[in-house]
Amino acid sequence: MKSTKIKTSRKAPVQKRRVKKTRPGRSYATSRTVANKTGEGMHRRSMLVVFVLSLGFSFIGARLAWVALVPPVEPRVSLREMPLEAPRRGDIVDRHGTLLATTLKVFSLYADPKRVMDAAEVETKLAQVLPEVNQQRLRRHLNQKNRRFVWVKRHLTPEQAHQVNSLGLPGLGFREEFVRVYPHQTMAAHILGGMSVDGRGIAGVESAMNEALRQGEKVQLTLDSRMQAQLRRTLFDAQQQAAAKAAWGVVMDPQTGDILAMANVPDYDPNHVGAYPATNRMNRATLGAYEMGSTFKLFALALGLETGKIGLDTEIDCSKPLQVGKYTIRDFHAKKRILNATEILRYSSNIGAAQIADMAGGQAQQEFFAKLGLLTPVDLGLPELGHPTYPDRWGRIHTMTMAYGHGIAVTSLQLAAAVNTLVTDGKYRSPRLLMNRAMIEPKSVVDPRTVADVKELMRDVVHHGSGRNAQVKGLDIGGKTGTAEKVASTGGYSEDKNLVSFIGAVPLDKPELLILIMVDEPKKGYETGGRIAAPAFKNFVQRTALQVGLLPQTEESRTTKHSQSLLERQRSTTYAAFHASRPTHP
Amino acid sequence: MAGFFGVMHLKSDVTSLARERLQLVKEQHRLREDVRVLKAEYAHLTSPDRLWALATQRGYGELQVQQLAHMQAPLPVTAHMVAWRP
Repeated sequence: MKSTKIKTSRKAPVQKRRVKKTRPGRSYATSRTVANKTGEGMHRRSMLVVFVLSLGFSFIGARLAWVALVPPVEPRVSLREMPLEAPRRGDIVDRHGTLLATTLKVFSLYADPKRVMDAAEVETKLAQVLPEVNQQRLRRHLNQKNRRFVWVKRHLTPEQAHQVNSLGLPGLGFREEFVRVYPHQTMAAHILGGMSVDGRGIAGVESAMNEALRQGEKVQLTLDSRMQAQLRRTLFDAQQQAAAKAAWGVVMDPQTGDILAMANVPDYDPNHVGAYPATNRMNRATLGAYEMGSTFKLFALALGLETGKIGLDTEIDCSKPLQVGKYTIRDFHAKKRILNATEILRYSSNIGAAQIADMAGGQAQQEFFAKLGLLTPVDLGLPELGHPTYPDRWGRIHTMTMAYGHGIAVTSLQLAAAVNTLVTDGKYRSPRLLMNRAMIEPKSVVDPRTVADVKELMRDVVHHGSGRNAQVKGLDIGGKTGTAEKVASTGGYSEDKNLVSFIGAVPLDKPELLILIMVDEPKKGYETGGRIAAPAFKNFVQRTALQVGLLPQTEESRTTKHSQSLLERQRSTTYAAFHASRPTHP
Repeated sequence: MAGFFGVMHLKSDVTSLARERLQLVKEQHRLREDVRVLKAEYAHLTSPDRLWALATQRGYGELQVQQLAHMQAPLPVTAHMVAWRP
């Protein structure tokens, strides 16, 4: 049997055919004969087949039982549906990590008119959930059965999306989109800028850091959001009070040059940039270059002190207007007498400041201004970068008019950085807005003795001069008012349109805040820096003093606390709040 | 045969694990998105302007600098304070 089988199977094809032809059925007959002889083998094979089939049926049965009894993992998803983290624009945060701008996933609702079964039903039910959707437009679109895609509403809130989904209307679908969100709305609008419809930064940090943000990088600013909100509110109040065209301000950390707050009013909500006029979107603090007026007298006095031309008690004749060629320089509040250097700043004498600058000379003034950064733009990294303007030929009359802030236009940031030099240690610190920008090494440009004298002058302005309205009881404040007539469209200076300002530092002996407040075109009655900008400065200091740990200083506390840094004070000082009306302990 | 069933069992395990992983990844994405939304909501709800408006609405005024003072010396300890124990 075995040998026959082997022989048959090993036959060549030709031989097989021949065998079939000549002796058909021989090999079959042979094997059948053998099988009949061995019924036991047959039985074994049958059992094997039964076993395999039984096993198969058992497996199928078990599987059926499994499917029927064990609940499936829901939802059944394909491995191809693995979600991918879509590239998302990076966040913008303040110096404490507070979120200023972020990107969120939202749902937008669309319709497939071909799959919509009852357009009227869709229209009616959607109107209950999304009443703001234009019904006529929606009906028109839903009846266009040749279209396969129609936007119904973009950027739904999660609640709206849930409500629409609950309607269970066929033919409606959601598409995921990203939207840029500014949780604080108008608070730091001019710094953050905004986004275009195609997701590109169009102004401010969004534009300046567009590439980094697009790659998902987080951008940290030097801003303090609480201080930013206080500054914005202060400016808003001042603008309303003086019915001014605009108001803006800058708050710097004098020791580092970090911008802690910078605000403009009127402003806009970056969540809806397009809804506001262009005038609201202008960042006047960085872009606008203005003739600053009397705040520049600080530089005239500092120049005189630095060059040794004057001392604090040097007397200058301010009894009558100063005639220089065809120009006449007058005082706004003329004292018509001889004034010493302190009084020149206290009464904001144009005549006195012009004479001091003249004594120092144009060359020295130009060099001094250059060292204070007044002749080069301050680059914060924002696209809104203003450039200073000053005469090509620095003549004598220019030297004298620039002494009281006319004939030269600088940005608010330039002014703040320059004054900061005069109230710290005589070192120029470049303002910084982006935390990831390395701080530039401060440059020593003014003698510390000059700084000490200028501080005394600034303190005197607040105690006895035009800046009295900036005083906060218990705090050591120094500053200077500014009132500049604006250039008229017809040429010359306008008599009724002023740009008023106040710049000051607190506490003056070791400043922790440098604050500049500017108000554009205040109404009559508020047309000087002392009347609207100085009170605004005071309001801001009162609102933020607690935040930075500034406490009212008595003579006793001055001697014990001044050597401590802000951080040390915040950590170690025990604060005791009290109220005037609170009963005292017996 | 045993090998076949072993492989089938292994494949079944891998498939269910992969499905489980997919669910976890989806859940992780959803939670991350939720965290983002919550952070944005938190920033909005704790916005200084909003808190100021709420405080004003409830009649709270701003704390003035003059309402603070340095503690120059420890508060006087009276007899009943010494006697008191928590």
